[in-house]
Amino acid sequence: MTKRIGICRALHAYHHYALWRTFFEELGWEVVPSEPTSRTVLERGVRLSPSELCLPVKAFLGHVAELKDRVDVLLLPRIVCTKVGGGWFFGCPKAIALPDLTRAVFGSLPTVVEPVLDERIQADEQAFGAAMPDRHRRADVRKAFRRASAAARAAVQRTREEGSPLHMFGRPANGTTPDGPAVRVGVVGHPYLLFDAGLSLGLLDMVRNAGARPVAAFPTEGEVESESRRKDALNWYYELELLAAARRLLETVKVDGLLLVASFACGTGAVTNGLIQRAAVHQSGVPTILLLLDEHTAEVGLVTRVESFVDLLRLRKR
Amino acid sequence: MKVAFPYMGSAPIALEALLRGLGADVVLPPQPSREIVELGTRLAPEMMCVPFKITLGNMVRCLQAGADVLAYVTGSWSCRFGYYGRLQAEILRDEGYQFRLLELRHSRIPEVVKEILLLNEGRLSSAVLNGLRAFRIGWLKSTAVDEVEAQFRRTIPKACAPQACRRLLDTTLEQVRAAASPSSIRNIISRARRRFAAIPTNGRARALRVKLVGESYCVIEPFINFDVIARLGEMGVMVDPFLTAHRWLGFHGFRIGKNEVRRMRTLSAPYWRYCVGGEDQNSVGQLLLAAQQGFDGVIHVHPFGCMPGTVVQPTMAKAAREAGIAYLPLSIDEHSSETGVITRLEAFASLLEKRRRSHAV
Repeated sequence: MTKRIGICRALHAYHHYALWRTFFEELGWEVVPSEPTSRTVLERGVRLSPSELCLPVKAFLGHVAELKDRVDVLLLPRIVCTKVGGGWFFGCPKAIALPDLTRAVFGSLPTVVEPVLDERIQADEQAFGAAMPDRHRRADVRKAFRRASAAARAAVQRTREEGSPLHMFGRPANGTTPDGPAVRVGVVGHPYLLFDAGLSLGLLDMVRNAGARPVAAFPTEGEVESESRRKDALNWYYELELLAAARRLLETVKVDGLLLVASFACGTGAVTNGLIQRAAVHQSGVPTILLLLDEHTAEVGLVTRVESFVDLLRLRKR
Repeated sequence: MKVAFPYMGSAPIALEALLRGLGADVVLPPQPSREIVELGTRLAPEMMCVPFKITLGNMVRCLQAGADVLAYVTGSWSCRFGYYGRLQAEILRDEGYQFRLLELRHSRIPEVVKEILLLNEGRLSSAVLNGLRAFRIGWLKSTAVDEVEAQFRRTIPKACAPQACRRLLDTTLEQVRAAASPSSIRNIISRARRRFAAIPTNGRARALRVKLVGESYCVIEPFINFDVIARLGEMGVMVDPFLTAHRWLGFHGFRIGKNEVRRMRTLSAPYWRYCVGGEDQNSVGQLLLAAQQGFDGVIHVHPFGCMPGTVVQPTMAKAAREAGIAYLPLSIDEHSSETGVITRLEAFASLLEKRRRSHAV
């Protein structure tokens, strides 16, 4: 009988879902993703979490609650550390502690697959191999991981082309974008916040409805690496991606304005967004706006702010 | 060269002696206050943790007092503390201040050594000699402060007049700060020991015991934790912080106490398998150790929004439940109200009292 492994459609699944899904499917498992974030899922997560946690982690716990009784096995990755250009770059503390947090919150969980993704101690392939609850031949694991890596590379490529990672979940990428030379708004934020319509309340559509073109950048490995080589680079991997994305939007795409999205109580965001805003103001004078999201954020409030930001950009452009 | 450094609890007493011994001029940061917090809050990113805001406010005052070198412990790990120095330096430069940033980190040791040599006009022998002397006096003062504070924590729950304890602590710390020689430090300590022993007791046989765990700055700095050690002391509760300024210097400055780290790792392993910073692993381990050692309760303090401090909360609650020890989490930021915190401390103290009585029956 094939085993069902549950993967939460939250947090770093927006980065690595293609890799994870292909890996487990190659080994003959049935992959069950959780439903897209709904109000119910989010509210369950909020009830389970300490109030101070950030929105995406609360949502993650909601997804676990939704998924855990439907599957035999649950994937809880521990994203610790990765090597970029000779240096070590970390996940945020919440990503590192995610399995411990989930275990503390839930009284009972299905069998947990917990790959410890810490390249200081092991390669990712070994991490996944060691985390499997069933015995698989090492050659099979290696083959599955190789195929998964190829799928992940293809997925990243497609994400870059479509400007959205949602294709990994088999969903249409974007709504229609306005025609003609519209105001271009660079959007920078963690994909698991920005592209989860249940959390960002359809922020990208708000930008489109305001008559502007939202542009999200997905940096290449090379861009992330050159970001990592800068003096005083941040030591969080996923923040490097955001910094590289912002740099591309400011320097290459030359957007008219930068819309930064972070969740309330996102610890790394406080540092990253400070740096990006500083760079935008100091280097190019591009206007920025920072929107903080939490479970109390109301759609109307967001629409108003997005509209006035787009109006401002339009005025400047004239 | 006039050096300033961020402030935490009684740490400056030793650090000032150390830096002066090395030949530097020291600008002592002012005591944290409402005004300092507001200053820092205005300049810092909104979502930064409160220790960042307080130390930033402190640094502004130091620069205004003429400091031209800011020394920070910096590093590269997953908690935000490692970025304090770099981020604060950027903010302060934007404000128009001019200074040099001296990063104290393992990869920058050569720069720090060069700095010390410069202070001694490049003479290696005098740098080494001054260095050794400075470290000795700094370490002695640090140990002395630690000893006096421990005396204070033990005495205050049983004292008739807690205010007398506070006064004795303050005068003794001031004496240690002013002391110039090892022998005078030793005299101050033995005198303080006698005077603490002479404080009249209120007849309490066994004080309630509480372990204080959590993020370092919140544990060590009385201003930000609303002086929880003395406050609970006045209510007849002995508070034992898992970390003091002296132990912090030893832990992080000189990597002392590896055995303890290992012990905490083993203890906390069923609940917490990866240390992410903010003393999370230590907090879980210390909570379990406190339960084994018969403490009555554990208080966990952390700055609001502290990433490790927040994410460890459900684990702390679970570990406390399973170990059968009372547990109070306190999350603190620049808006925390003193009254709110004191009320919770009072409620916690009476809960502990009740638990002990029901266990005694």
